[in-house]
Amino acid sequence: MLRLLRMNLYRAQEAVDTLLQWMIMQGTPPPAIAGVISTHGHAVKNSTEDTDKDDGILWAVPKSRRSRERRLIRKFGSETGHNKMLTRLLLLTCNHCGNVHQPGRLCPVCYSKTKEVTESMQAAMNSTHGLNPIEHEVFPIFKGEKVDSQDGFFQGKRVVEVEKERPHWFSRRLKLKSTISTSPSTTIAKPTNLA
Amino acid sequence: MNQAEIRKLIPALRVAMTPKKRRFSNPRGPEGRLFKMRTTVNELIKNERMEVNYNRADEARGYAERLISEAIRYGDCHRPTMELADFWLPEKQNVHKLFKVLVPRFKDSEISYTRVHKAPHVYPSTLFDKVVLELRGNPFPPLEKLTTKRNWIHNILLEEAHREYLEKKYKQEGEEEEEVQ
Repeated sequence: MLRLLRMNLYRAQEAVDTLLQWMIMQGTPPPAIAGVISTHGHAVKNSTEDTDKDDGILWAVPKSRRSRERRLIRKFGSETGHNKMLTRLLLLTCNHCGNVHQPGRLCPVCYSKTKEVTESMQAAMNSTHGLNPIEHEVFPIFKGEKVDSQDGFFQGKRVVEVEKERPHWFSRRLKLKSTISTSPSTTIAKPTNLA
Repeated sequence: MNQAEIRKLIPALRVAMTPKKRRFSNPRGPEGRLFKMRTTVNELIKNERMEVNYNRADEARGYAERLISEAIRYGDCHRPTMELADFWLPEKQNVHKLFKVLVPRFKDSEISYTRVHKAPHVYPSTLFDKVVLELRGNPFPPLEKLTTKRNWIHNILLEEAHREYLEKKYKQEGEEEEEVQ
């Protein structure tokens, strides 16, 4: 900004110098500058061809200041548009599967797997319920699994049969506490349906 | 000044709501906007987990939270609550689900009823921020796995060092006891 001002000042000084020189030498101003000089206090336009483009001393300078936002957008692109198409360099490694993911976002590989299972479970839920009123929590069982249920209910939950096999990373016993039994007689049971 | 504060008459939402107005343009105007929001809330109650644009999820979440909290507070014998449920859940089997499944599930809950996870950006569909909106306590596999720091290299080394130190200490103590005897 300061540099620009100094340049302009320099140019103005030069112009005044030339003008004075002309006036001393000839007594009349040069044709190029005559447009900005007036005897009555305001600019008088000459009708000659070359004065049309010479509207003043200063040409082609910015009229208003560029704001910080505009300047950053010009430099780096908009946050919502162009910038999003750039390659992501800030990436983290997923603790679960080892693929890369953006910080604060789900891992794309883990998420796609979860999404696939979720969608199949949702389809099973919706086909089981249909248009009947939904009155119970669901108990999803996957392909090849069995539970003791006569009327389609298990532990007060509606049994929903999913057509896919249970993925190995989604075990049924993950959410259950192992020391849940309170009965005095305990028998060792072999684990079943461990997918 | 004996008047109750109005804001205390309505229980606060358990999620932070953005005060900014979102411009969901709709040919049917504000009414159409609500109808679109209604489909999102309905699907959330029905499917318990869904992937939507961030703005829609953030706004629909508030409506879903309010609906569930009203259902818990007033029950199904309260006319205004039932009217609210009737508007927000156009598929009527979900009205049953709200009062018979979700109310018992969230009755003693201290935290919010819904959860939002940021979905990954998958090129080239990075135009809108996608999030996964879900009800808590759903039967689906968890989106964010519990992470353990036990396998970090410095934790393994520290554990080994600790074990070595204890072994050394016990050995020393044993030798001292033998000397005394």
